[in-house]
Amino acid sequence: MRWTLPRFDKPRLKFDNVALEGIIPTVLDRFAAMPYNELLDYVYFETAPMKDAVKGQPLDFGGIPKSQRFVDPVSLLLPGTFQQLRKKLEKLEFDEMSAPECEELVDPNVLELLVTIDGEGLFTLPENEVHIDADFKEDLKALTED
Amino acid sequence: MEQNLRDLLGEPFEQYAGDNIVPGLVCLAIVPYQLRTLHVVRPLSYNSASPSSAAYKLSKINFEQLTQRANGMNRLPHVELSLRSDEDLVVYKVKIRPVIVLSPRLPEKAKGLPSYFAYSVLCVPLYTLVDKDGFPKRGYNLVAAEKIAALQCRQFFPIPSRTYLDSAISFLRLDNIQAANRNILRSKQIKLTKRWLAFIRVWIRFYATGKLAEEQIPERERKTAEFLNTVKELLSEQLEKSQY
Repeated sequence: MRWTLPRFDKPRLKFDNVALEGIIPTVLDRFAAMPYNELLDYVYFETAPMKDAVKGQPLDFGGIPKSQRFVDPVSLLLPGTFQQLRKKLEKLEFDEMSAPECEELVDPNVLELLVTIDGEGLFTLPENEVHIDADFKEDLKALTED
Repeated sequence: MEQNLRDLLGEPFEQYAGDNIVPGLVCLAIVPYQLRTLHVVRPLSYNSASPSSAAYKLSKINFEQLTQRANGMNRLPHVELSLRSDEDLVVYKVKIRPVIVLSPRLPEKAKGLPSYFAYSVLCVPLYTLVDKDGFPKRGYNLVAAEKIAALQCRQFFPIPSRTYLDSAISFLRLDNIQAANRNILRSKQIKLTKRWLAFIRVWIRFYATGKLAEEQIPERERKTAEFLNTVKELLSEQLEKSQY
């Protein structure tokens, strides 16, 4: 007789550590309701260190596949290139326009545009004020003709 | 020295003690999963006097089927689902995630502005790319994670988030920008620096138009875009070399 995954009420768990949130429920799903003998069989015959175990010798955990550590692509840059980029960055200016502190949007034109877009009918973008690529215009035309 | 994205582009976050929800602020918000199916709960009768109005039916709907039906019958999904007129509920899986606010909020009242627009802001959700131990998030492909960190994916933007969030590197999903009511956002009291907000604005333009450093944009913004373009090309080149 072969053990199959039983149905059981999953415990409601809450983790402070989000890394555990993905691991623990998966382990519980698989092993929590497994009969004791089945669990022992799994550990003795199916886990990587036990497959090649030699009696009286220490277990070798080296065969367990490990997640590969992430290498930040920035670490691959040559030091000279990295310094050049840093210098370029220092020359850039970032003003209030790029980080507005205002909490409320007050531009009447933007508000009017939002209301128009939300409406039922088609709307026309103002000529010469909004740049629209020629290929996009074609797409838009095809859409409205459908 | 092992250089990283933070060394190159600077610290992305700073403390923010204010109460206002302003662009660049990191907040917690309800972010829906990208699902292929949704569930609708509807009463058996919409007549409150009927005994069956207390009984409900749960039905599962596949988005693809819905779109096909809507196209074939020339009806919009909300009409197809009767969501505008009846007391139906759509059940949708969501998660509370950190998001970055992108726009100032809309006012409570403005000429013609529907009430459901009031206090809305645009925000973009943050996902873990590399966990705090230095491994790609479980389930992510290592190569894909490195590509995102090397600015190779237009719809994603990496942010070094160690010490501020529970991950070493997070990424913004620009294909998942959403509107949220200002009142449901919970501030995490940290905010993007001006520099990083400028990077993200440039990247959003790139995501929307496919052009990173086009000539028509204002000079200061264009220089930022050109800088990011250079970083993107150099990182991509190095990553490609390292993979062969």
